[in-house]
This record gives sequence, structure tokens and C-alpha cells, in this order.
Amino acid sequence: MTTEAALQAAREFADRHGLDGLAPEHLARLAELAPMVAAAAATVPRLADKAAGPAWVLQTEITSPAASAPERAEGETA
Amino acid sequence: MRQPLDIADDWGVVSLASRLHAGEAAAPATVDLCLDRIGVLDGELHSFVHVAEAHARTVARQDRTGPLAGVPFAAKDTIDVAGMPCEAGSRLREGHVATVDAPIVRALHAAGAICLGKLACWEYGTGNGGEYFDLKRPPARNPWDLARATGGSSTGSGAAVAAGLVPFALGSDTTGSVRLPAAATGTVGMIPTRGRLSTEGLLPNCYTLDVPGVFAWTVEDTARVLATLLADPQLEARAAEPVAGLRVAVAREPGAGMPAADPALVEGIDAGLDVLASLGVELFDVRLPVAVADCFAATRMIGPTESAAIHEAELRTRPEAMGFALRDKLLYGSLVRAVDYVQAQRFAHHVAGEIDRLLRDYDALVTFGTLHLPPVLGVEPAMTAFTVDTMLTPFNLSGHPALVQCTGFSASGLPLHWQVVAKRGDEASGLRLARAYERATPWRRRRPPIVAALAEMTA
Repeated sequence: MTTEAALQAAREFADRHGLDGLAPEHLARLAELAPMVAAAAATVPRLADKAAGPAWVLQTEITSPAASAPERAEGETA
Repeated sequence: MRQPLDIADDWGVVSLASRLHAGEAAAPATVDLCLDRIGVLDGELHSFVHVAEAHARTVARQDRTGPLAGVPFAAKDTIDVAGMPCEAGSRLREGHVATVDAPIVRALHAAGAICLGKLACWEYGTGNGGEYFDLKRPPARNPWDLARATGGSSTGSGAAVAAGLVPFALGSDTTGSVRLPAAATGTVGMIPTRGRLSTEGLLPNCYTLDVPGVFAWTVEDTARVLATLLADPQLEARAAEPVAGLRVAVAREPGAGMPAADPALVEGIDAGLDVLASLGVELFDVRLPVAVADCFAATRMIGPTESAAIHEAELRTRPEAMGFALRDKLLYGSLVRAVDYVQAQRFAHHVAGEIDRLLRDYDALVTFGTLHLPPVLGVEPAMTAFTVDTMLTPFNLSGHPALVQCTGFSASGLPLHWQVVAKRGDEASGLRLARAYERATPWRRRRPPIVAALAEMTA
């Protein structure tokens, strides 16, 4: 059962991260999911070797500069 | 005399291409046959979301050359085919029409294949295994039992191939989206080594795990299509070599945190291994070097998080337009800490190395695919269990080529299956083992009841 405190935390999380289009039922689900995500995250094995990093993904496809340019907000400059 | 809508033995990609090349069949008539079958069967199956009837008929009249000349196919609705809708099963993409072929589609067109349309999928090619009946189209149905699910997310691809609506189809796989539908529909579903096929023109679901894949009725057909996509003309010949003396590892134990496989699947794998042994294959029982549950946990940090990044704008602006499954996944992904995402990616790298090391001593590896038979559509917890209780995710993390093929049928007539995994870049060995098994067993002679009923209806 979702508590009011959990709901409030979900509202604050959504506010912090710009998820302002979420309806009350979506926020309630966000509150339900939060502990489930944390529990699932805790089951991911941790590698003891600090040098064991992720495999970097190298994209070798050649795309046009326009296709690969980052989106920018209006008025924002590179 | 063949009945007009019957599925003949020569309906496969290779045999059809051969007959078309020899002038024993004509592309326009082949396309008409597919369209007629779609017209009769797909009202119940819901495997197609767009049938490009006029386009296919026009293209079929043109001269075509190549290893797939005149052979019809269809693509998951997350894959761009120029001039066709690409709505990915979502209200968010209503009216979206692709302007350029995805490179994998371009390769098929260049090989002479004819695209008949787009196939159903879970919204945005993703989901949580559940069916919520809240999208704009009804879900695809399993041709073996219309009350059952097709597996996802490439729902229409498996159903359409199993029902003989098209000889082959394209899909994509992030944590099982090709192999789950193949398992549920008794088709062959294969993903090549990650990175060998471009994902350009596919609506992204997870940048680091997405792999395009192929559905076909036989392994031979799968090899033809993959050889075309990979531009590897030797693949078919290598996949047809004898298997006596091959060293094959068998990992039946998914490890802690996973249920046992359904008894019918266990019987299927046992009988299948006997067949391989009779062909001279050397079998070795092994344990996977990583726990499947750990791999699944890692994919739960990677998949939803990348999806949430990819579709962040939609979650911010139009969450109400999404179905429950997509929205739930994006909410979930929004909650994953960057720390846990990185831990999962570190673990994925570890998994890849461990499986590389395991396969060093073997030509291929056999495992279960999913641990369950296809569930009744919409009924929990079986629906979600079919998707999450699997031995598929280690090979999504590792990027190895993997296929699922039919290994017989349950007492209730549902397809059984296993998964065959090969070394990175060695798709041929997996295909070789699967092809030899397929040729030694009768399963490809049995089509779903809905197809048999069609044949009787038109007799």
C-alpha cells in the first residue's frame, strides 16, 4: 500500500525531474515502483575489481553531422 | 492439384526463391497468395497492422534478381520501410510514415524480396510481459491456439510466419523479443551477434542491447535471410555442413532465483538431445558461468533506463497516451539510479567475457529459451512469467548469436522449443546444429490448426 509520504516523495521526484505531465494515478504508480526498483537494483551483482568497467559501445556508422547533432533548446548555442 | 490457399511443402524462403528463379512460380501470384491468406486468417490473428497491397502487387510485377527475388516478407512495426507507416503500436506515433528504408530492409529489397507490410508489436517494441488490452489495436493471437499469447515484443512476426502469411519476417530483440515469439509460435527466431547488423531505422528501445532478428519457418530459410543481411555468402553452405563430431555444451539449469522449466519443455529438450547424439554430436553438461537471475536483474537496470532516456520527451508530455506497459517501464527506468545502471553495465561486460570463455571449448550451447509454454492471453501471472522466467537474457548482455527453434509439441498441441547459442561472429555453427536437428525431426511438417482449417475450407 502506498503511503501519503511515499506519494509525496513521488510528487517531489517528478517535480525535480520535469515529469510534470503525470496524472495522479501515474504518480501513485511511481510511488509503488520506487521501492521495487531499489530492491531490484540491490540484486545486481557488484564486481569487486574496480578496473572492470562497462564495455564501451563504439558506433562506427557514418551519419551526417545534421543527423548526429544534439538537440538544443531555442536560443541555446553550442 | 494444390488448393489455392494451402501451405505447400515448398512455401519456405529457399524453395520459393528457387521455384521463382526457375519460372515454376511467379512473384505476382505468390504475392496474391499471401494477400489472400492474410485476408482470410488475419482477421483473427491480428498479426498485420498494415498490408501494403498495392505496393506489393506493383513491385511483384517488376523484374527482380537476387537470392530472395520475389519472396514476400513483412517487418515489425518498429522498423522503417519507406512509404509505409511505422507507428510501433502506439498512439504517440499515429500517422508516422517512414521515408527511408532501414538498412536491413534495404538489403532485403536489394536481394529481391518484396515487403508486404508491417507487423504488430508491443508498444514501442517493449513491455513488461503483461497484456493490458489498452492499445489502439487488438493484440496478435497465437496461431496454435487463438486464446494464447504470441510472446513479445515482435508479436506479429512470429504469428504471421507460423500461419504462413509470409515466408519470413523481421523483428528485434532486446531481452527476448525475437526468441520469445519464436518459442510461442513454433517458428525459428534468430538474432546475430550484436553489432553485425545495423540498428539504424529501428525505433530504439535500448541502445546497448537492441539487435535486429529474423523469423522463418525453417533453419534453412533463416540462414538464407541472414546470409543476405550479413552479406555473408558462405553462411548457408557452412550451416549445411554435417554435425558429427561437433562439441555442444548443454546448460539446463537456470540457477538460483529461477523456477524449473515446464515438464513438457524438459521432455522436449531431452528428446532433442537424443536426436543430436544420434547424429554424432558430442554433448557435455555444463553450468552457465553466470546466474540467469543476475542477468535478468541487470537487464532490469539497463533496458528500462535506456528506454526512459530515449522516450523522455513522451513521458514528460504525453504519458496518458501510452499503454500501461510502456508507461510503467518508462516510470521504472526514470527511477533507476545511475550508479545501478553502471553496475549493471559492468556486469554485462563480465557476462560477455564469461560466456566467451565457456564457448571456447564448444561449437555451440543448448539451453532452454523461456521456461514456460505460451500463456493464455492476458492471464497473469502466466503472461509475465513467460517473459521473465527465461534463459535468454545472458546472451542479450553478452551479445552472442542465438536462435530458438521448435522441438516438438506438448500434449495440448503447443510448440516446445530450445535455444541454441554460438560463438560471437559464428552464426553458422548455431544454424548448422539447428538445421541438422530440424532435418532429423518431423516438426516442420506440422502447421497450426488454423492453417489446416484454412486448407480444408478451401478444398
